[in-house]
Amino acid sequence: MDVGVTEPRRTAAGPSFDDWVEARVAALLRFGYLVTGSQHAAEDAVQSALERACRKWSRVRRADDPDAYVRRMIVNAHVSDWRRAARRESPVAEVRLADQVDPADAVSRADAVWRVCQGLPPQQRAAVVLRYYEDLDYPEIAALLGVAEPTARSHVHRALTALRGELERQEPSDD
Amino acid sequence: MTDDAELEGLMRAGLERRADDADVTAPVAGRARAAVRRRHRGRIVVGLAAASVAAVVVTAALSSTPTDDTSETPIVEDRTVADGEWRTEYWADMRVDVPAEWGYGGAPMQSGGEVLSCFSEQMLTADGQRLRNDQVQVGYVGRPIALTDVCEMYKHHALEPQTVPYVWLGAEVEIGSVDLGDGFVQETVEVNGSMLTVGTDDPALRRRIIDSARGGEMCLSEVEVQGSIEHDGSLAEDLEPTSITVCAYRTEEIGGNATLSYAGLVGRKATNDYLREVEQAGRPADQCPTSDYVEGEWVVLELTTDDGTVTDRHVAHFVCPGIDLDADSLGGFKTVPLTPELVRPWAVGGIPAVIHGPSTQWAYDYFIGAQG
Repeated sequence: MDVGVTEPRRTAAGPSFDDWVEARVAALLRFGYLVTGSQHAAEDAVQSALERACRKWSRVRRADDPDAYVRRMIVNAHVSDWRRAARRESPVAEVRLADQVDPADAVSRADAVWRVCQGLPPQQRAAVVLRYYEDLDYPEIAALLGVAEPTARSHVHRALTALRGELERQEPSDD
Repeated sequence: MTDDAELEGLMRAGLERRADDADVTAPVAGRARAAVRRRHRGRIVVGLAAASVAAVVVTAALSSTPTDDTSETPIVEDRTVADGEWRTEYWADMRVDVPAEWGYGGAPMQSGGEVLSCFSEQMLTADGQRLRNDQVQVGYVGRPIALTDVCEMYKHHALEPQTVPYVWLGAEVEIGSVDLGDGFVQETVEVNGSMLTVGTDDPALRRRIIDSARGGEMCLSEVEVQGSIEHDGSLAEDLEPTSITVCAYRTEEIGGNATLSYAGLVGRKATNDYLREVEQAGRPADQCPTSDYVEGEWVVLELTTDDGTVTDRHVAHFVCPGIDLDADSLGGFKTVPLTPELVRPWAVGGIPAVIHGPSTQWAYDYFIGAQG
């Protein structure tokens, strides 16, 4: 005896879970990878989010944007994990590896972006990914993160400031 | 110097480039589906194994749950209390029937190397209201939870004559009988790992209460704080809930498991009132984004249908006051703010005797206050 997992049919209320996940899973894995910083953590976060979405699909598909619902669960899972870990260890506030990178090309600048992102607290990092990878505006980011819009702006601004500092530290070795 | 537009361009390009490193062939969707199937199968197996028990419980629940319930008094699901003269109380993996009119109070507990009680008297009525000076104590159910900052040493309690009968659940009392004078005897037995103490001058009452003790079934008896609170497969969110199972948990140690401290059931009207407030509660958010805190008490609200199917689970938090409307564990932090309207439907019965509320004035009507 098997048990149906979700309603396979398409309804007026939205797509079936299977149809939706087939179209979106790759993008969600990329998003999860940027938010968590590792393939393993991304798979865990996305799988967990999809499991919840599958169980609650009747509610999720009625949401204005199922993608936003699932992205929120991915971010929540990561922020929640980080909070638990934060009781034992402090986040890396700043990364100084400029003297170890290959200078003078786009690769090193892209690496600088990644180093800066990896040094950000999870919610700040999620805000950056939502802003510059998912192209969401600030009200959307604030809604997804459950924070005020100025907080979302502040997260992104701080990340840009950190990137500027990272590039400036990198400049001497570019010469 | 790099200008903002250039920085933003760099950020976009850097993230785009890094996103390409993700392995998007990972079978996460298949794993998610498989996990959901396992939960469904588990639910069916458990359901079959427990069918006979469930039938009794469900029948009892229906018989004791008026469909047009307008009361906020907790409905007790056990058939032995259907006559209204008895109700069922829960602690950890133990449940016991007590006279329905008995209220709530404290019970001896370990504190700083001493056994204290804060306070071993009836402090609340059966419906969770504070006992007024003009009301007579009729009996109480005590738990090892500080209801007030006024405490007494248990050894002093044992020396004083007692007149008000009581049941202590999980109290720090040794197994055996103690004669407290004038025929008042306190008897303690162990049930499923918890102490059950009954003090009364009525031997038949004492025997009936002790004989009614058995394993609890209404809520999970113990929960990992960061673990799943699911115990019955997936949620049937499309169904309409008609009652709320109220499961209170507490832990004494950071990182320890949370143990059931109280269980109750509220009926259709309270459920509708609660859901109406939930609809107006706004968007869940982190209510305390700048705080780091440790919690020790929670209330799990299981929305259930007439046949006991769970449609949703919410978790009420009290240190950073709010209700997690999308709860998988006790450890969530995205909540809607706790308000009197969200609390009133379910903070009844024993809840005001087991949960320490937030330090706001309105909370004193529903929970243990800062000074009891």
